[in-house]
Amino acid sequence: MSAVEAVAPVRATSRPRRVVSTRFLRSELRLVFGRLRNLAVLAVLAGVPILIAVAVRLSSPDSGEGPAFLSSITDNGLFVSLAAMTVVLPLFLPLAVAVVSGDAVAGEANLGTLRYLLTVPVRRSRLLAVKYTAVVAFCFAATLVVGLVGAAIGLALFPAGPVTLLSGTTVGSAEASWRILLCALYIGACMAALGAVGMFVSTLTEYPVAAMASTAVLAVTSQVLDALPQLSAIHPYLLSHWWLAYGDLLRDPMSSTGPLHGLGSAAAYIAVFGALAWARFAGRDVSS
Amino acid sequence: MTATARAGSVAARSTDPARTGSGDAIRTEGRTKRFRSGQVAVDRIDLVVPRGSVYGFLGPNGSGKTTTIRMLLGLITPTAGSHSMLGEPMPRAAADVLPRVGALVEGPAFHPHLSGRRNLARLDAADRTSDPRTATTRIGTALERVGLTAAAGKRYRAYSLGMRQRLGIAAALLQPRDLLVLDEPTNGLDPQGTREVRGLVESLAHGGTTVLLSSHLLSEVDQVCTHVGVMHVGRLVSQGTIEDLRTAAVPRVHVRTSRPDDAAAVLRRLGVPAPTVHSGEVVADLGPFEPEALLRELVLADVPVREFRVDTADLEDVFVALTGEGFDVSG
Amino acid sequence: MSDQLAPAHRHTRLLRWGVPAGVLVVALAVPASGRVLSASAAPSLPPRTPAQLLADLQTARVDGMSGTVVQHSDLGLPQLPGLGTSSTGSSSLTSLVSGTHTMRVWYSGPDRARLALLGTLGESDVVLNHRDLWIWSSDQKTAQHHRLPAGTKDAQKRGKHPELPTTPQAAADRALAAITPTTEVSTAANATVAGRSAYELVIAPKDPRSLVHEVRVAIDSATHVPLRFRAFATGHSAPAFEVGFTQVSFQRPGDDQFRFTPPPGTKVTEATTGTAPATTDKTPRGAQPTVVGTGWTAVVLGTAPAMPSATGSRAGGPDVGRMLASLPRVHGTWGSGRLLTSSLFSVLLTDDGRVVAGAVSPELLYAAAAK
Ligand SMILES: Nc1ncnc2c1ncn2[C@@H]1O[C@H](COP(=O)(O)OP(=O)(O)OP(=O)(O)O)[C@@H](O)[C@H]1O
Ligand SMILES: [Mg+2]
Repeated sequence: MSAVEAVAPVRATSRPRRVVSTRFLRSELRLVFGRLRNLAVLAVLAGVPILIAVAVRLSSPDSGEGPAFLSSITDNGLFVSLAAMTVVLPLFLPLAVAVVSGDAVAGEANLGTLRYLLTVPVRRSRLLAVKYTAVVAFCFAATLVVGLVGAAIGLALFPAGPVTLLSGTTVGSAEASWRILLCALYIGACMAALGAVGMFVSTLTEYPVAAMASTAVLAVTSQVLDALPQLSAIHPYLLSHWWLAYGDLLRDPMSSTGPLHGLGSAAAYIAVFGALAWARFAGRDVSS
Repeated sequence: MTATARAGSVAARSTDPARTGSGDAIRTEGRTKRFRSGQVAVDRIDLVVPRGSVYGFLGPNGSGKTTTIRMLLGLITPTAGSHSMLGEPMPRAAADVLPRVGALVEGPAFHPHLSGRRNLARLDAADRTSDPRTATTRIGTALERVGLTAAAGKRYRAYSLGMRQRLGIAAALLQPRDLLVLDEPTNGLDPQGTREVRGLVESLAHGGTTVLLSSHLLSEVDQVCTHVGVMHVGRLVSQGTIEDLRTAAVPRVHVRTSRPDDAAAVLRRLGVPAPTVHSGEVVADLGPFEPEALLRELVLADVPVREFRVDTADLEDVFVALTGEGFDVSG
Repeated sequence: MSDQLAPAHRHTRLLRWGVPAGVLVVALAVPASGRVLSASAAPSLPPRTPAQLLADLQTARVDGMSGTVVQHSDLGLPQLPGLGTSSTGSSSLTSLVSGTHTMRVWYSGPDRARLALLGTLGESDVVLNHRDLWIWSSDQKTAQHHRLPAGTKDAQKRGKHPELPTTPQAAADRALAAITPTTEVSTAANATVAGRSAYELVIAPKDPRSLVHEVRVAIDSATHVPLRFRAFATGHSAPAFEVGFTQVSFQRPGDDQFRFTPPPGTKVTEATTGTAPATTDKTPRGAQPTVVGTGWTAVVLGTAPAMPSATGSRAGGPDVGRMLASLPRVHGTWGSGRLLTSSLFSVLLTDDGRVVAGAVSPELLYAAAAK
C-alpha cells in the first residue's frame, strides 16, 4: 500500500449520474457461463444426445420400445434432438435449471457478495431482474445445447432422410429443423418458468444447496401430481403439466393449442413467482 | 448506568443542533434494530459523524457495530428511527448516496473462482454510475493502493486472510468516495498491513473523505481518529472528539511500593474510592484529591514510596470503563 | 418499546406481499374470465321451438368444417386396473372411456373426413378419403388401410367406435334416434360454444328410473351443426359425458388434410374386409343381443362367449381379467355375477356368461336378468 504517494482523492461533489447499461448483465452472464460447475452441467446435458445416438447406432433397435422418437432416429438423425430433449425433460433439465436458479440469490448470500452488490449500490429489483435474465439465458442455453448437439451427432451418425411427423406426414430436413428449434425454444420457456420458481426459493435461504434441492423436488413433485388421475382438476395449473405440449408442434398441420396454453402457464408462473421473489427479497434483511 | 450518565456529558456536543445538521456525513436518530429473534441488537442510537472526521466506532464483540453499519447501508431494515448520509435521507436516497460511499462490512466477500481483478471488475460493472472507460485504470489504482498488484490475477480462493482483507478495502476504493465505512479493516492484517491501512486512512482523510472505522483495536482508533463513538450492548454509550473522551477520563494515581497493602489502607483512610492492588502497585481513581496531599500522607504513614505517578487514563482504560472488563461478549 | 415505532414499516411489508397476491389473482382470472364470458353471456337469437331445432339438426349439413373437439367423461367409473391413466393423454383410441381428450377434426363432405386424437407425444389419425380409410398410430408406427366398397355412406367415421360418439354431430344423431314418446324435448338459455352463438336443446327422459337426467345439445345458430353435446346423470350437476368444439371453422379444409401416405418404416396392414373395420372392438360377439323394455330404460341382454374367469384367463388379455376381478360381486334370484356401475350406465356380467347393460340402476338389470 503506497500510503505516502496516495494523493488526495477527487471528491465526488455532485450527484453521480446513473446510466442504463448492460455491463452488470454481461458480468452476470460471464459469472453463470464461466462457472465450472455450470459448464459441467451443460456438458452432462450435451452427453445425453451423444449417448443416445451412439447407443442406437450400436444396437439399431427395431421398434416401439423406449422413449418417444427413439425408433425414428435411424430414418433421420434429427430425431436424436427430439429423443434427447424428451429424455432430459423430466429430470436432467429441471435439475440443471434448479442448480442455476437456486444458486442465483442464495449463492451470493452464502458467499457474502450479496451485501457488497447491494452497497455498490444495486437496487434489489434490478439485481433480481439481472439474475433472472441470466437464469433464463441458461435455460435456453441448456435446451439448445441438447438440441444442437443432438442434431449434430445425429446427422453425423445417421442419414438425413424424411422426417415423419406425429400425424404420419413426412417432411424434409429443413422443415423438421425449424420445428425442432421451435420445440427447443418452447421447452426453454417452460424451464424459464421453473427458473422463476427456483429464484423465489433462492431468496428464501442463504444455503444454495437447499434452494437447488427444493427447486428440483418441486419440479419432480409437480410431475408426480400430474401423473395422478385423481388430481385431474388441478393438473392444468401444475408447473410441469404443459411441458410435453411441444408434441403439438410436430403435428400436421401444426397445432398451437398446447404450446399456447403452456406459454400462458409459464408466463403466469414467471409473473407470480417473480412477484413473490421480489416481495420476499425487497424487504429481506441481508445479514450474511 | 454510570456509563450512560457519562456518555451524556461526552455526547453533549453532538446534540448541539448548531454544530450539526446537514453538514454531517452520517447522522442517525433513534435508530433501532430488533431482530426477529426478539433481540434488540441496536437500541436507539444517535450517531453523529461530522464531515471530514475519522470516526472510531468502538465496541466489544456483539455490541452492535456491524448491525449499525448494515442499517446505515440499507442492508437490513431498521426497526425504528431515521438516518441520513451525506446530508440525504436514507434509505430513500440510497441510489444517489451509496455510489459516494465505499464500504467494507464484516470482512471481505468475493467469488472464490474469480481473480481479485475480475472480482473488482464485477463490482464496478454493477455500479450504474461508474464509467466503463476508466474501469481498468481505477481497478489498477485500487489494487495498487492496497498492495495487491502482484496478486491481482490470482484466484480469490488462493488469497491469504490479509490479501482478502486488502481486496475488500480495494473494492471500497474503486471510486473517489465522500465517505468510507470500514468495518474492522485491519482484521487479519500483519503489523505492516495494519500500519499501511492506518496510513491509507490518514491520507484519505487528508483528502477530505470522511471515514467511519469500526474496531475493537483501540490503538488503531487512538492514533488516527478525530472522533470516537463507543457501543455497548446495543447502545451508544459515548460519543465525541477524541479529546472530549480523554478529558472525560478520570485521572488515576499509581503507587509503587514494597508495602502495597499499607499504602492501600492509607488511601482508603483518606477517602480515595476503592484502591486496588496488583503486583506491588496500588491503583486508584484520583477523584477530587490533590496528588501532592496524597503523597504527603503516604510518606507520613511511613509507606516506602518507590514511584508515585498520576496519569490521565489512555483510551484503553476509558473503553474498559465504558464497556466493562468482562471477557464474555454482550448479547 | 421499539415495536410502537414499527407499524408503518410493517404496513409496507404487507403491501409488498399484496403484489404477488394480486398477480396470482390476475393470472388465475385471465383464463377463467375467457371461460366465464363465453359461458355466461347468453347470446340473443330469434326464438326457435324444440321441434324446429330438431328439424334443423336433421337437415344440418355443411360442406366442410374443421376444429378442435374436447371430449370429457366423468362417468364415475370405479378405479379399474385395466383402464390405465387417461389423464396422461394417451393417443390410443381405446382410452376414450375416461378423462379428457382432445381431437382435431376435418370434414369436407361425406367422403372426406379426418379425425386426429391427440396424445402428448403421439397421435392416432383416422383419415377417410373417398374409398380409402387409413388408421394411423404414431406410437406403434403402424397404419391400417381399408378399401371401402363403393356406395357405403358417411357413417364410417363413427362406425369404429359405436359405444362413444366422438363428434358432436354423431352424438346428436344418436340422441335424436332415442327420441320417442318417452322423451321430453325443450330448450334452455342460448349458449356460446367455441366463440359461436348456439341454441341449447334439452332432451330428457320421462321415465325417472333412467340414469340419464338430461342431454343438452348446443346447436350453431347459423349452420345448425351441433357444437356441443352434454349428458347429465341423475343427481350430478357436472356433465357425465361431454364432447364439444373448443374451436371451429366452417371453411372447407384443403384436400391435403385427407391425403395419407404411410411414412417410410411404417408397418402397414391391409384389411381385406369390405365392411367398416372393427379396429378396437375386438371383443367377439356372441348371439344376437335382445332388448328388454323400451326407450331410455331399455336393457340389452347378450352373451359373452369367452367369459374370462376372475383369476384372469387369456381371453382378452390379462388386463381384462384383472379388471373384471376388481368388480364387486353381486347375486340374487337371477344368479350371481359382477357389477360395473357408473353415473350413466350399469353393466352386469353374470357367471353363466350373460351380459346385461343399460342406462338404468342395477335393480332393473337384475329384473331383466331374472326373465
Ligand atoms: N441476523 C441476526 N439475527 C439475530 N441476531 C443477530 C443477527 N446479526 C447479529 N445479531 C446479534 O446482534 C448483536 C450485535 O451483533 P453485531 O454483529 O452487530 O456485533 P459487532 O459489534 O459487530 O461484533 P463484532 O465486534 O464481534 O463484529 C449480537 O448479539 C448478535 O448475536
Ligand atoms: Mg462486527
